[in-house]
Amino acid sequence: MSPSAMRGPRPSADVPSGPARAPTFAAVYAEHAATVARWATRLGGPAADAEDIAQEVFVVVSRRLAEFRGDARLTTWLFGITAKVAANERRRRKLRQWWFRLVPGAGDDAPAPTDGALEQLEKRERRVLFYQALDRLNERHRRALVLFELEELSVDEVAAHLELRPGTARVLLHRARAAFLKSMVECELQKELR
Amino acid sequence: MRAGESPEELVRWRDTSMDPSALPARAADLVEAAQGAPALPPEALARVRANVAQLSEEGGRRGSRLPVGLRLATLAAILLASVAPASGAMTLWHRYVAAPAEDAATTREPHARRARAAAPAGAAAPAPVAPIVEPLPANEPEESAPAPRAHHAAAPRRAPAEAADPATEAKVLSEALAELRQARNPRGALAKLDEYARAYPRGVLASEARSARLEAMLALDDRRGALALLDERTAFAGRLGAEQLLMRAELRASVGRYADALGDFDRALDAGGATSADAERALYGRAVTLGHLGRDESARADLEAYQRRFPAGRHAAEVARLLAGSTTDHRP
Repeated sequence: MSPSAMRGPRPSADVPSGPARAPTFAAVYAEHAATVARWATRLGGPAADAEDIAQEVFVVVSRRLAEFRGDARLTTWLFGITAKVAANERRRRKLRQWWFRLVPGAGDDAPAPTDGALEQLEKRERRVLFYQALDRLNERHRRALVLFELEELSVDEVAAHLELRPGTARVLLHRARAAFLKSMVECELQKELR
Repeated sequence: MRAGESPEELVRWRDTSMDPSALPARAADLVEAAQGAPALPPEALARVRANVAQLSEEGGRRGSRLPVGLRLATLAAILLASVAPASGAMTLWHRYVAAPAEDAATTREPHARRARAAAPAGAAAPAPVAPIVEPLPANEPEESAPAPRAHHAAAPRRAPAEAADPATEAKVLSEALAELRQARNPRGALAKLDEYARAYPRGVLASEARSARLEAMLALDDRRGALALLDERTAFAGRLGAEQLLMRAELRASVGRYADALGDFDRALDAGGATSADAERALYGRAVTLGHLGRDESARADLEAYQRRFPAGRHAAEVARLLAGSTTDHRP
């Protein structure tokens, strides 16, 4: 599936519409649930529970939709919420990892990894490496890189999602990409040394 | 390439054509793998939708929330009107607004502890107010010191000062687990878990604490308590792990809630990542549950499937007996 097809049609509710035309929760869910779930997967990485993140995002949306002012695009608002929830989830996960080291066996009920073909395994390893490198970046760089490289948005679209000027987004992307390449090399070296 | 971009500046890694060993090409390889992460299936999105609706409904039943400013103003008004009469308010003002430096240096916890220690036995029930205002020390005259009792009542709602330290949170929980698994003392573990719940009502490890509580309840054979916890957890978290889902199914069946149990067994069997042991347990449990519900044909189909898949399974003998006779005279 092409990235543009994965992004789906630009929803009508996405246009700044002013407070009088606030979309209903059902409409937002119908149009954006798959997009939010994809963001959750891509921002969270392979260890994240995208379903939990998506659920938390829509709980927030259901409570705060009435506060949505309409002076920003709905996707910008949704992306901001998803990014924050995913970042919180990553923090919780880090603490849990620490906890599991402290109490051996505390994570025994975690789902077992599914086995697969060699190709799938290699792909999974590359995905893990991607997120190991990404995890070393700061949150702004992470968001920019996910939007530009994974979501394949244009610089202008990245700027809109991050509520930045295009020029600022361009500088941010340059730095994020440079930071990622450096981080990737470090992760590759670490992997080889193991 | 879209309008507004200069090609020489920002070309996506996957659009670069160069030596595969070059850094951008290697990054593109990783990006491609990350893009291939499986999307959430439609049934997962449907579950999310249902869970959000349930949570919103529960939130609605509890009443809509006022904006933060209004809530604080309302709380302050209630506090001043119902708790602190004029003399109390003046005492509060003098002590905590125009307080000398040494008062400000004392921490919240010692205040609360002193207040609790000095509270007379059989004192009146505490006033239901939130501890927005610092409680008065116990050596204040009774008529000007209603706040300490209020603080005492509301203490579980506020995490202590060390709540921000995750290492302390983990330490409390690890003490509970040590009681449970090393000292084999489930009651002691429950006491520790109560302590944890009071100190960290929204703790990062709340899910692990619930699992430990469940384990302790089952160790005490408190099935109804364990089931209540699992029922509550569904509403809260929306999803359970495979083990707890099966446990809930069996507990529900054991108290006669066969329709609910059937739903859980179905979900356990539908879960793609179910292990062979889980599948065996779920298939047997569903067969027996179907038997209790009078759906003999479906029960028989499950028992036969069990026999085919797990001929040497834990319940093989029982399954053979049930297939030979009735399917409705047994409970898991």
